[in-house]
Amino acid sequence: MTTSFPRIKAISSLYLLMIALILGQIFRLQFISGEKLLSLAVDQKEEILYPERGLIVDRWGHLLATNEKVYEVGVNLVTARKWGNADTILATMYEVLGGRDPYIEAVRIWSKGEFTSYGDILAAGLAVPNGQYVRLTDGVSEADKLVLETRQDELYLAQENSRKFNKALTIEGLEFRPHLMREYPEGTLAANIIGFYTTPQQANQLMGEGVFGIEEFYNSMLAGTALQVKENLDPRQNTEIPEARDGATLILTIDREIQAMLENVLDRALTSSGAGSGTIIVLDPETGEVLGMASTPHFNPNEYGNLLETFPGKTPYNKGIGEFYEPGSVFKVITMAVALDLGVVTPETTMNDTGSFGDGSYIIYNWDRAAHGTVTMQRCMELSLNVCLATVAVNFIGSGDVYYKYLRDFGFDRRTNIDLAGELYWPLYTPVEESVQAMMAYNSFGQGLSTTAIQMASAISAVANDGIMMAPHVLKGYVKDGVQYNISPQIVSQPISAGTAHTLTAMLQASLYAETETALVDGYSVAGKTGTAEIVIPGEGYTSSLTNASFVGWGPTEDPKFIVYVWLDRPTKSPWGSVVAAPVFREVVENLVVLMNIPPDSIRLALE
Amino acid sequence: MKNQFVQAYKQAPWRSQMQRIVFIVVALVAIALVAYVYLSIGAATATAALQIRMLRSDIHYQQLDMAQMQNTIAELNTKSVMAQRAGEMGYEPFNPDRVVYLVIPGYKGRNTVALASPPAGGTIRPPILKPSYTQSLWEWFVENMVRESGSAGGAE
Repeated sequence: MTTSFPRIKAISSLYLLMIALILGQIFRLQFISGEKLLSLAVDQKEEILYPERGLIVDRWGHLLATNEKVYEVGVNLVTARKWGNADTILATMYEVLGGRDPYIEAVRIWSKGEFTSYGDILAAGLAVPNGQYVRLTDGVSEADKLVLETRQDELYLAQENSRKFNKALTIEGLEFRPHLMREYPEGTLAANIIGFYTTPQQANQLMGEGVFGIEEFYNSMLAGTALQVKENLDPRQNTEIPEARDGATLILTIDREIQAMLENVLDRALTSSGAGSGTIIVLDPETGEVLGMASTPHFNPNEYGNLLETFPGKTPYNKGIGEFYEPGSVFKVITMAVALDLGVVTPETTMNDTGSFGDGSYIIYNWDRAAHGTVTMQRCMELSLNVCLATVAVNFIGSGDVYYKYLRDFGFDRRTNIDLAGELYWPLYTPVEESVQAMMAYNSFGQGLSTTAIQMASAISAVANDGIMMAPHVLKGYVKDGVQYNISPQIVSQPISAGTAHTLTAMLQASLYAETETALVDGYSVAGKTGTAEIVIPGEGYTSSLTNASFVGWGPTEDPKFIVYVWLDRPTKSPWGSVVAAPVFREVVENLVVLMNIPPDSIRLALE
Repeated sequence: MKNQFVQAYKQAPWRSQMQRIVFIVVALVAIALVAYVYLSIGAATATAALQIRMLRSDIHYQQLDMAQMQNTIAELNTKSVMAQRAGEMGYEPFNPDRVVYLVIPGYKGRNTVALASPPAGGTIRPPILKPSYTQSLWEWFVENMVRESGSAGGAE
């Protein structure tokens, strides 16, 4: 019996052996290699979902910053090693992309010169044991990607059709990974406000960063939230679709047409005045909204690699917020506002202008070095008399505590906190008792203190807005998760009364008619003030040959819709603000009233 | 006598053998059925998982394409392009000296852009998976039975 059915026994043994092997394998997979395999599986399922960076639009919805589909081009190192085609890949890359690849330049800067070419990057990748992939470049357009793909096919077909397939002469292993890259369709337009967004260059850097302007200030809102997900391959376990939260779309207060107009006017003004640089700011005094802010030099954020060439040394990215200067006579608006608000002067108050002011330790002259005799406050502003304003500050206002408290109320001791990255400010020093009169005298006409253009525009906007100072801002609203949130205007302070604001506006309106006709606009009532500030040369002191020429104005005077601040830095045609800056104001306003649909006074008053 | 008694009630050998065979076959069929159900569900699940992956990939590429299209729209609507198109259509840049202000009764001017609805009351997102994907076979069976019995009885 024991020797019967040998075949059955053999087959049974074979089956038993197979079952034992299967069980053994199950045991090995489950208990011996289980942990390692599990971690491998988890790693494979882990994924980072990148959100789309939020768009930036102007107040009418024109796109100022979008995202473009581009390709990262890299090499599958496993294939490249196996096929030995690194040289062909490099040659093709140079043939198609070489010589116009800003990514390589960025990598060169990041790596401090260690990587200066595709060859360096690929060699470094191949040197890594078991390296899987290396990124050669990024930001490749759809068109260039198609060229590379076509070359890939052509080279492969050429080898297929040849007698011997030479793998080294193909570019297999070249991979294309699509992603989004920041694009600024308007180029240089409003670049000083928007800033720019960098493409990540470092291998471990997953997202770029916003630099300057809106892109930096609202980076966290624009960036959205990347999501690290552990994807479960069993769909029953996935209770929701993992989705990265895209960045918010920002709606700016900027008007594209106004911004473009300001930049054009500024460029013409620089050419005609010979100024080295300049800025023009337009605010809505009622809300503090920045309608436009032109600044030089211009910059194309799509080519941010040129940053250091465009802004050498200490050149600010946005001159309107990033550079302080002695504003000069435009500051007389502030001093006169203080005096009127305190009730120590009226437009008809007189003083005797002897042509100089001082107590021996300091002396102040008028811009024309002349004495004008008995003049009213109205005439002081018309003629922009330094002696008059120094007298008002020292003799009429008198108290340094009171004067500097007003300056603090106007915001000269702090940033305006405009929502743009890179705002600077110069501290407002309250002088010691011994020098308070001299400092008040100098400060009264805008010398001896420094402000930014946005500080000046913001402070003087109180005069155009019933004495109420609104927070200057660039963000009008944002769209997040399909909901639009609009930003409410914020009151900063009320440094002067509405009555003072109206009185001063009337004085400055009359001043333009009397002495600064170059700023007047046909059909529209405007008020304003010129400013010319001498520039301090280190070691030499103030020099009258180098000036900052400014003009601040607003209108229509009964119901101001705009305030315009012009600053031209070191004009060479004429040092005077009334000659070079006032006509710029007029040109801006002539265009502004059309772009803002502001009716001429005759029609507006008839409609009221 | 004892053997005889046992013998009298013992199944015939072929019947016992047949019973065992039937029992084994029934067990095998049951196992096969369960295995079939599980394999079917497993295969369907795997297919669904694959489809989800593919759809997610599609979503990703469509999002890229949408962004690219938006970018194209932006480029076609840039100030310079619009100015060029306007010029080709015979329009000229305005000259402030030649502008005439017309009063249009009732026209209050442009409103700033509204890209989305303003905030409203809280909304609750419905779950994306039907309960049948997550509940057990028993729960699904009971729920359907309850539903069927409810609908058979008519509305109260």
